Amino acid sequence: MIEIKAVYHAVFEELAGRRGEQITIDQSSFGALIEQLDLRYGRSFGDTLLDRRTGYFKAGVIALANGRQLEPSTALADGDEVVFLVAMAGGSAPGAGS
Amino acid sequence: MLSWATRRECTLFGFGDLLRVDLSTETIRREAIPLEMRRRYLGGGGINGRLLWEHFLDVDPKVDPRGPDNVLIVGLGPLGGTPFGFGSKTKFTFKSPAYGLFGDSVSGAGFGPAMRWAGFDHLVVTGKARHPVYLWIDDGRVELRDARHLWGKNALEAEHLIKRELHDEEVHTALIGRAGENLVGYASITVGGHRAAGRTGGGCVMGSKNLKALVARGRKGVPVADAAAFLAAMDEVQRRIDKLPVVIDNWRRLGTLRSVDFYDLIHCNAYKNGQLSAMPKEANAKLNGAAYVKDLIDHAVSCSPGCSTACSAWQRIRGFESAAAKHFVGEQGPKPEYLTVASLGVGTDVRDLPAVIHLNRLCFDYGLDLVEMGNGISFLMECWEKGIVSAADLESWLGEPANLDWGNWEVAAKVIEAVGNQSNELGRMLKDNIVGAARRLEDRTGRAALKYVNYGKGGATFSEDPRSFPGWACNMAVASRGADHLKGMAPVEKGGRKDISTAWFGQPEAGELHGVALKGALSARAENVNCATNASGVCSFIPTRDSLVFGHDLLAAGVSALSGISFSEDDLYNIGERICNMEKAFNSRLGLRRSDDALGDRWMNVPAPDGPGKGMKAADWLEQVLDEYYEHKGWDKATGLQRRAKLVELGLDDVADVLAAENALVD
Repeated sequence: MIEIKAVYHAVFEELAGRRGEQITIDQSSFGALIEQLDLRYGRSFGDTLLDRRTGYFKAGVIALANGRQLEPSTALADGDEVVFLVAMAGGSAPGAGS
Repeated sequence: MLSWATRRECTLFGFGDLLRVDLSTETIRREAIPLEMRRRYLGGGGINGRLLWEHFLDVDPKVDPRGPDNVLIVGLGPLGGTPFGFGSKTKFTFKSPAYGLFGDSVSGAGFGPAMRWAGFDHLVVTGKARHPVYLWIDDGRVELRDARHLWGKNALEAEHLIKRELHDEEVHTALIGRAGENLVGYASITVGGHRAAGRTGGGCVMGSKNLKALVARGRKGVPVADAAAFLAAMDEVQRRIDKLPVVIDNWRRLGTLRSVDFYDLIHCNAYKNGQLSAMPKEANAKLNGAAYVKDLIDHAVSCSPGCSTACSAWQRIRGFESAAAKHFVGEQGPKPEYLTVASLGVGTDVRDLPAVIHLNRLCFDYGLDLVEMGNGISFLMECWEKGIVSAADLESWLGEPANLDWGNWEVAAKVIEAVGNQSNELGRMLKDNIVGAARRLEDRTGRAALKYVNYGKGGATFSEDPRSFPGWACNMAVASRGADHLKGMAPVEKGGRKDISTAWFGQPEAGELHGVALKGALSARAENVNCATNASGVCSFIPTRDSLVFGHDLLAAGVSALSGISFSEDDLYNIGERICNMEKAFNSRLGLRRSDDALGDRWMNVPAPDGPGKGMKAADWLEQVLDEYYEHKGWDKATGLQRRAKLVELGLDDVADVLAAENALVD
């Protein structure tokens, strides 16, 4: 059993109805955490994040553990902070233009 | 604006003409753009790049970019200025005075669309006017007007005066402030008062030509070949946008400001001039998108005609928002973008969003690239921290006691004013670019300073930390205009998009945040994709949210319906690759080789200080990534030069011949 701190941003905050929580899981993998979140919030949570067939993140969303990119088989450690968020790369400036 | 013209009324559906203006002889000429050029380069940066190449066949490409032989080319692709749905991005192309190589920059706002609605897709300005002038494009009528009364005015005042003079608040401008007049190397072109073609020094080129402003009013619209098909293409754009509610809703709410948080989480912000790659949480909370939405946003706006997602916004500072806000009460302007905050807030540790917005406004008004300017300020702050710049230095520059402590927005404003006005030694030290400033500081102090500049190809600075992102670092090392994120931007690496990697390369590794595998291939492919996107006339931001959903099939359908000429998705990719090769060839003529595809000392040799990529540095993998990049480009790995076979494949035999004659081609 390990305890994970889950932090939700954007659509994941809406799906969970909260900004974060402590979650205990009995298997120390990211996949196990997603199963737990599916049980709590319905499969729409995992469906929003992952392509179930490939395990890849869906368009524009990502989950990170202490800044590390995750996939279902990634091992998690007790005390890890897992952040669910919308990824956004790049960013022009009106003055930098582009 | 669309118009339903008949074939007799226009030379080509969907396309306008080329306007040539010689400032030295005061001649103005209108030309049709050959259909073959359209097929091969489409428009925007594509045709601009071809016109740049042709200009420098008659002129030595090694000329002083601040001299009259440089050229300013402006272009907007066929989907720009239409309601297609992805906005309008106008490209400005020239030889860069900031870095001495290929130069270009894009901007939103209305000048390019108005030029297109007046019947012109491209504008080529050569020579130098005897005194300051501005170009006035009023539908089919074009004239040069005296601008001596505008010289010395900054951008916002000059725009106001032009509108008053023309008795029309709705004319669209692209103009320079004092920085351009004073030939600051990285002077930008302020477009519509609140957007800018910021990078690589287009404002300096305008200043060197005594060209204060470009002004356009267009009422003709864009003639459409197949209105029903074009409307169907627009519907398909909306249908695809609706497929990504999570992404687009977030994008509409925060736009690029979303990256302030995200980049702290993945550690690619350049905090305190890039000494760390994430901000403290309390600094992030003052500068992130949520802070903006909570206190500052007034209403959402799009930055250019034809955008259906409107990632920008408008704010008016009321005075309560932060410690510094009381100094800027009533200031209005567009939402700062990620790079605004990264350059003027994260790098400088100015933890005050209204102060960052004020510095942004100063950059607009003087007409300065805020990336180079912001990096200059944060560089000076690090030099102050390390004792390379002394209190006596600063007092002698500014004429009063001051400090360059992290977060000092007041001194940051004084640096911007000094550069824009070129009024003192500090401004002159920073005139060319920040690498140049570091070298001057080294000469002055005898202390090493260049190692504190965050730069890549050409000496161009950038306000992110790419040390643990090999794809991003590759972009910074190879971009034709110098260190840059837009040329090779893709959601694959930082978005962790293994699905796109698999679709593009048959393997998922390009979707690893910190992985090295496939990152050269990713950079090579993304450059081709993005060049075609710009050539079509639209903003690259929505297409690069998801390259699978917003494929070039959408753009091809739009351009085909608009023009009546069939373009396929593959045609667009080939056009993009052709454009990249034109830009590369221009730089090869200037003598650039593989050794110029490089990064500065901090990114290359100093290990990333924190985060999951801690310890990574480009020296450990850049050569491997570059090998893969050249391989995917079809270029020679040893020299970085193009191969004849690739150019012939793209129909650029004439380009190959020029390069071969100058020993800049591998046969």
